[in-house]
Amino acid sequence: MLLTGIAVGITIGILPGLGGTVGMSILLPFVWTLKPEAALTLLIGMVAVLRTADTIPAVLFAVPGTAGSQATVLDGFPLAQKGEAGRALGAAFLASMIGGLIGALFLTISLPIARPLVQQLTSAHFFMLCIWGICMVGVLAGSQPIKGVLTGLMGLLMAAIGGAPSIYEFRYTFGLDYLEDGISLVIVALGLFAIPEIADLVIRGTTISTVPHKLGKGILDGMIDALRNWWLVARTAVLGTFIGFIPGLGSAPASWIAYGHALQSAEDKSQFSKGDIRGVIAPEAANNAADGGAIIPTLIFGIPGSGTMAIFLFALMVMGVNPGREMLTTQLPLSFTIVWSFALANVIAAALCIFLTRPLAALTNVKVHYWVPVAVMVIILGAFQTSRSWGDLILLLLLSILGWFMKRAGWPRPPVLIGFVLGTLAEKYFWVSTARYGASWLYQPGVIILAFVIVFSIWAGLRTRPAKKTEEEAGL
Amino acid sequence: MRELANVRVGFALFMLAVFAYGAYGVKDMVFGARIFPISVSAPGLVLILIQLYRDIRRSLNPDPEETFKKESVIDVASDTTTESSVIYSRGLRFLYWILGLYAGIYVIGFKLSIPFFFVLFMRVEGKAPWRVIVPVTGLSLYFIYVHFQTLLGVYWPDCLLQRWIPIPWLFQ
Repeated sequence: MLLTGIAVGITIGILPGLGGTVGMSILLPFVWTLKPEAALTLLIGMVAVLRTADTIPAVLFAVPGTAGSQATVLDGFPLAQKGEAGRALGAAFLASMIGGLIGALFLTISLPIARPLVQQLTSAHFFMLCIWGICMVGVLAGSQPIKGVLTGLMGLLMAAIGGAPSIYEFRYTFGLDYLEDGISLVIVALGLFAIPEIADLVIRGTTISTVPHKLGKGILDGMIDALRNWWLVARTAVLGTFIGFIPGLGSAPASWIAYGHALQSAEDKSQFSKGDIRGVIAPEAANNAADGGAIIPTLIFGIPGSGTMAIFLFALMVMGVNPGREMLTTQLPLSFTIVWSFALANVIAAALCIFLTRPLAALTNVKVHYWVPVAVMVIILGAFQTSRSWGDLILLLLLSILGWFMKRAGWPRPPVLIGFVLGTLAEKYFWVSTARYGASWLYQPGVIILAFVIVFSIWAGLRTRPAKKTEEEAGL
Repeated sequence: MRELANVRVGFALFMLAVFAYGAYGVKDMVFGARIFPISVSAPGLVLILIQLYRDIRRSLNPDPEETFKKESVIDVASDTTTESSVIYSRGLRFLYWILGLYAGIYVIGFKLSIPFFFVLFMRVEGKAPWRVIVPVTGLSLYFIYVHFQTLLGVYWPDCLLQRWIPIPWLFQ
């Protein structure tokens, strides 16, 4: 299962537009029949290797495989233009692997430490954690925080479709039986992301890449570069883990902040954005570590750190695994399965990427019309498995149109997913808290501390937004 | 770029309608059912009005392109280099393909429509040679019958044809 997940992750990572959210939603319908250990190993295997594989198109064609490899383009592509693509990829793969291992290490350490902490948490705290995640997506929606908040709110409204948790009342069903059970995250993710990305590739025509690829030599040189810059790798990996840990951030801000850090801490900045290997190493170590970091709040608090983790959380819940206390008590073996799958997948993926770089890169030169039918088949089939109703397919089409227009109009789509997942949880925890404590839960010390953390996170998030300036300064 | 400005205003209006309905759709419900949607829709309405004002102002700008260049959201970037008319005509064409596939699934079933879709899409849209079409379509059939049906036990949408021709292995 781990190897299957790795294979899917590498393929999806290498195909621009098909990021972790798409990969997760494509795999999701097929994990229902598997045992939780096998299913989660499959999903973790896919997640763990995405940030390793997405480097290939980012370096070769200046096309980020996922949002997490955007920063890699800044120096990776100039290196490829210089005929040092092999060096850039070698450095990126090793940095990714080390970053992933550091993320897994933090995950391992955090499990026993978090255990007594989580056991003290009440539904009111979980409600506040949901609010934290919801607030963060808006703040970190690039230079358009209002749009981020609005799309997050739209996700919350979509989560409200169907039966209310506290009372027998159906909301926004338009009289349709299909909507009474609410809508599936699989359909939302496939509709908002997968089909619009495929549509854009079809619209562009030709091949995924418009540049003929040349790898050059020096994969080993790049790996030596990564080892030579071990302190930068370690720093940015730890940075990435913490950023991934904060709900709503994920690998894209992690890689930009790490890139900014590499730039700020370098004595000689003259080669950045012209082909400095440190500009490849830093974001790659950070984006992979961020994925490990994002698993921590997902497992321990039930708060997804990213859109991908939102679907992973959904998979956990559907398999009857409740994130939170259970992951540290009765489900502790499963938690460690996830941690070690993540670590092992990173090592295998780095090795595979190094050996398979040439043939995998050729995929991006395959004419888009040759693989679109395959992708469409898998997406439609996956969508239909959620409730086996024509409503699934109709909703998929409507959400695809919505997703395409959101992209076209410059509205961020990831907050919709996080809002959608957190909406259900937030409303449930709100009603449980109110039913159990009345209004007094608002005065619980933990709730007040979390309220301060939320305010601080918003402030800190607004401060990190200037990281985008790095992009402009670098000339992109 | 003027067209893109209009799309942005249009989308903001759509979002306004979403939040307006979000608040209106639950107005007659009991408190327990409406508190969450109202709590979401109310700030949504305020924020979308601000966003709409900003988008309208930008659309009136003589060169909206400059404003758009400064905007960045954490998402996969959309293609702004291709002519809008080309994007919409190709986008509509792709939509027709999907609708055609849906119609095929509804009438003759998933297992029969998919090979047709593979052949037609690759041949018509991609101008693919038969040496590519045949193996890719063959591979899809292998996945449908071996991986999806036998190994994963997936379900297929019902179709009209199976009501008239009761051959379960062909449709279900």
